[in-house]
Amino acid sequence: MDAAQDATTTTPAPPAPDPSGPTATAAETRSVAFRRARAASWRELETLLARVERHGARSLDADELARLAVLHRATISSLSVARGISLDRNLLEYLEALAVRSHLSVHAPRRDLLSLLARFFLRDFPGEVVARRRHVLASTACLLLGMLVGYAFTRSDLDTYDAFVSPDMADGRDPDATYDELREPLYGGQESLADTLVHFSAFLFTHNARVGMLAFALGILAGLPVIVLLFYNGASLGAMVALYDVRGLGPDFWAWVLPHGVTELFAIVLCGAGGLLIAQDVLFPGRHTRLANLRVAGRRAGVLLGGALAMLFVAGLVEGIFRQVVTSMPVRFVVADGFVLGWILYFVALGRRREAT
Amino acid sequence: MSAHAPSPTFSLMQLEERLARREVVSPEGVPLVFAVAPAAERFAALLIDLVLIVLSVLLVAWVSHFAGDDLAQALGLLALFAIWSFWFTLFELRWQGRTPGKRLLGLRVISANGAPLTAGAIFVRNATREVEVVLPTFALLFPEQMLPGEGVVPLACIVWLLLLVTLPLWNRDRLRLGDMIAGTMVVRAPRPRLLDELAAARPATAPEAALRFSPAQLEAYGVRELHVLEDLLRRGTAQPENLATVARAIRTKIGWTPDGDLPRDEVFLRAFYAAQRARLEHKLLLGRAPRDKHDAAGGRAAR
Repeated sequence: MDAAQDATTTTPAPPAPDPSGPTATAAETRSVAFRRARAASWRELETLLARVERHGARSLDADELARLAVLHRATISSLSVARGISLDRNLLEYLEALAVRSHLSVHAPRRDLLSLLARFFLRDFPGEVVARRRHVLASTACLLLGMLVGYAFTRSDLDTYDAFVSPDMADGRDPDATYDELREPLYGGQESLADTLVHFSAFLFTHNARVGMLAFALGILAGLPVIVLLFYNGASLGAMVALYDVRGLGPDFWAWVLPHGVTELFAIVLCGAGGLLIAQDVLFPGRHTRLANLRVAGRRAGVLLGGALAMLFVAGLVEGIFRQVVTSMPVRFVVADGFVLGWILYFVALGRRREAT
Repeated sequence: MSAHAPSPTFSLMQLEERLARREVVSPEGVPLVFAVAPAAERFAALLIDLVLIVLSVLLVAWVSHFAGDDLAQALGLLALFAIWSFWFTLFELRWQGRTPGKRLLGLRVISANGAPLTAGAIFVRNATREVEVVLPTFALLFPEQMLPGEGVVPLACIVWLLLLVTLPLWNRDRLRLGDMIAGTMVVRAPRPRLLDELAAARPATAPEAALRFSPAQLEAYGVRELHVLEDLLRRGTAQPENLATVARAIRTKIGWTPDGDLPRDEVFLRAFYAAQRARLEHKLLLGRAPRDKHDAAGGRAAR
């Protein structure tokens, strides 16, 4: 239909740059003239872009940066024009690619890593934690419930311990172990300072970061795996507590686990909260599509996950260094309390402020 | 490359349609067209990165082994964790959406909505790799430990993991899970060169200048045929038999006869290209150029 109309309207009109006319060789079509006039600025942009891509935007001085912006806009406009008047495919592809390259270089985030990190830890992360407090609470509940179940079962029947704690996690700390075997790693300072525990801490760090990431990533799989994972990890901790409790080492175990455990468990809880956040938006999409929800929730949950990883790192440091050096139970408890207070203060003070703005 | 096919256009057109494209509106308000990176190239880039990761892990392990003491080994372990977990994130942060593998293959991560790629998006899209790469790999290597239960359950897990891994194949933009969550996509960062103008004005003495086409003879073809002809002229000159086939087809179709001697095929095609492009661009200016020969023929038939 369209074509029919076009044909009737265009054919009677004498084509202005009629190539069949006697002036065909002298007359240039518009697209050719356009290209001749603009090509130099495209080439100039190309050389600037090559430098930016290779050495970063800092390799340009102020004049060149201003020139880059001008040339970028000129090229974007060239692209618009070319789409309207030119049928030279190589030219169009070239301009598309050049515009894309220049778009990526001009509209790239320019912040340096340090201010990016500062903004994240002073604003984004605590703010997100406070804003998602309900998910954090739900995630905490899953973990605590797991701990209770693990504790209750193991307390009433030590044989269920193996169901909650995998052998490589237990690392010899099982119901068959003697009092001394159980006690030794708690205070295994002096003679074997680095030996087993440094390894164990590194293992725990990697293990827990993995657990945290998994809890987050499984969130998209509709939430159930997150809950199971949190529950299971809580259960294995509860089972260990029960085991030590039965042997009369309960307080010692708490003193051993809490200085780093406070940070670590909270980090895992945050990862879980991120997972729940995603799961919620996927299961109950509300007004938007699931995919759109996934994007929004994904970014929020990513903030939680990023902060949680940093917390796991802190926990790993405490675990790897502090615990080997300090073996006094009261000091260990004081430090644990200090961490609880510190994290609460950090989140409430910085997170609230962000919510207010 | 079938020289005997009726025209060389078929394969070229197919190739072009296989590459999905995606429009992103730039902050200047102009839609930019990105070529979605094919799944095979993404996979190849991943493999390259994995090989590099394994190599650097081996290096770290070797160094910390020779350092000997336990502290060094624990530090080595941490370094391994860092390399494994943050290889992609750090490179994509530093190199604006490129890892070594992607760089080698000319791929690049962009934000799907045209905004600058944020650090958060990069972090998120790589955090899910644990589920997308590690979990399936381990499930494949150690099925007994990774897949719970017996009978239906492991089977369901395998199906689920397969769906997850092949997710990019099931959507147009080749998005994997991490891309969907982070709102990113991976595109080709092509570097086309600006080639010579084929329709440049020629001096009156050039052989092309002597060839004339009537307006009616330029009604037979549309934009697609013009582009195919452009491709042929730009890279097909090495195959004279292709030029001959196409030149003969065009002469027959439009009923063109030379004034004097039959010009060389390349000369004829160049002259026809210039005339046809001028004609179609003129139509484009006035409204719209016919898409292809059927569109052009339809227009003529209606007239």
